[in-house]
Amino acid sequence: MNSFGTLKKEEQINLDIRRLYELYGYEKYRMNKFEEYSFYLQNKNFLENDRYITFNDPDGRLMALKPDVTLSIVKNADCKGTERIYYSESIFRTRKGTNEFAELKQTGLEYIGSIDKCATAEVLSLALDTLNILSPDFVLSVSHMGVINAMLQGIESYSLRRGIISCIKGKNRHELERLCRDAALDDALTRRLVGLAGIRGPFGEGVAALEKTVDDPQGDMALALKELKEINNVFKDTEYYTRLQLDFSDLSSTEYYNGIVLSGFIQGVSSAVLSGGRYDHLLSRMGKNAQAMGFAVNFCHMEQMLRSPQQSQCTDIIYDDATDAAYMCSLMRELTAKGIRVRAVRKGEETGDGIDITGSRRYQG
Amino acid sequence: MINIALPKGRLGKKVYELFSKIGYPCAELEQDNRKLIFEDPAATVRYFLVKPSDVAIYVERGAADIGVVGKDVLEENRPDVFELMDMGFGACRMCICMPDGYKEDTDSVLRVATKYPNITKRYYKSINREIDIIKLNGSIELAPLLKLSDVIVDIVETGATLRENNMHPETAILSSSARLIVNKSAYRFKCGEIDDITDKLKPFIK
Repeated sequence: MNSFGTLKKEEQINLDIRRLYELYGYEKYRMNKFEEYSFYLQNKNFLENDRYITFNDPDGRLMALKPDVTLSIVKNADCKGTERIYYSESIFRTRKGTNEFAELKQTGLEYIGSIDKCATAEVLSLALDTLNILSPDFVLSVSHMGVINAMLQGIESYSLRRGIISCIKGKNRHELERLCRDAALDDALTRRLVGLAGIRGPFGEGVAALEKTVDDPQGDMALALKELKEINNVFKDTEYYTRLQLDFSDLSSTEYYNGIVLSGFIQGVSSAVLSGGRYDHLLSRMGKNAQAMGFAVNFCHMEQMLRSPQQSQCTDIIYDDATDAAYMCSLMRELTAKGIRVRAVRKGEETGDGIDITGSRRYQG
Repeated sequence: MINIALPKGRLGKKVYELFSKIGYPCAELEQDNRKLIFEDPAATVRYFLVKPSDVAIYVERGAADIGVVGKDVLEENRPDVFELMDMGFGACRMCICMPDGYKEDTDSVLRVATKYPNITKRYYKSINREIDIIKLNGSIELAPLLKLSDVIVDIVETGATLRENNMHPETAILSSSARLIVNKSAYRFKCGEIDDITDKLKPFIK
């Protein structure tokens, strides 16, 4: 049945991704399309945008169409052991840079439990496999909130911290230098922050550059560096190593992520198609004693790439009032069984030559 | 192949001269014609000439890998791009300008005419001043003269137009110059080539 492309490219990719997650023991999670509005309000610091589509349910409760999937999964997680969950859902939020709501499709996974180095490797490996399904020409960019949080320790001004993060996210080293100078930050810290903004490219080289930048890592910085080195060791001998990059422009500006942050790119698509990371803060905020890591593919960013090629043209089966309807149905069954697309049209509505079965005419093959 | 979005006009000409010097010439672009896309396969570069305010959109959406645009345009639209370099030229200030002798009535809503509503809103919000924005697309200086607005927020280079219309800049709210911007996805795939361009440009930047 697929000989003329019944499945759209997006559907095929989605099936391949779901199959991958099933093979790794992840279970599909299906949820309601809405939650109580107050739930999102309480957790708005974990959401990139606080605009939701709201409505009243028959009981008078104010509800919101889901702007995010992970929040609902975490809310319902029992956290009694390791939970491996995947989903393929619609979310409802404004598209970046617009004021209009849209239904956006996301497929992703969540690993909830104890996130050790093996769990991190599993999630990263699945992120790489997922990108490979989308396109063989991909890059998975990794950063670590622990590094930036350690560097910003001691800077109390919220606006200065926000300004520094914004410059690092934009690789805007000239503004960053000005900002640090104007805030009278010490030269060593300025040098480290500017160095961090400049890290990009192959993962191993990035980790080496980070080590050089931070010099004598202590506390959280040492832990973050250790985690990045472990990731380097896991992937350095794999086919995906050249696809892995270290780049601190992928920092999160919400409270969502606290450790590794992931952004996936494919050649020809102008923004990240995959995003995710480690989000223990969200679990502790909901009173759950567990850690978590996950990612999602945002199909809305790939609309151009996912456009399916034009389907093959239909063959018109031309009938009139005198045509035997039973013969027409049996002919259509015969042709579609051979993979030929057909369309029954009344005489005069045909778009080409077609197969004429008006009156008592029969198809000769 | 690197795709470069250039702003039409003086700034674009200056930027092209720089790119040409560092090894990205394009003979077609130097000819007098009305083309909008210029390609030099030998230099592996393709230039697009676009409206200055559209450069960032071409880069953000990935139609161009890199582009050069004023900081004023970046601040107004805040596109999701990397800002890799301050190119130093095209320097100007965005100022609140007012007619000579104007005295602000702090007890009423201030009427502000501007081409830059977002920057203006952000500035007045930061000082907690209630304003009425009047979005114009050109000849902003005319607005206070015809009592359409009390003040204007606009780019000031030499201040000559303001002086000729009996106005003056009062407060600078942004310093602008040309910036090299890069698409976030393109940078992941072409960072070697793009970094090579910025390294070669550095000696030419004051």
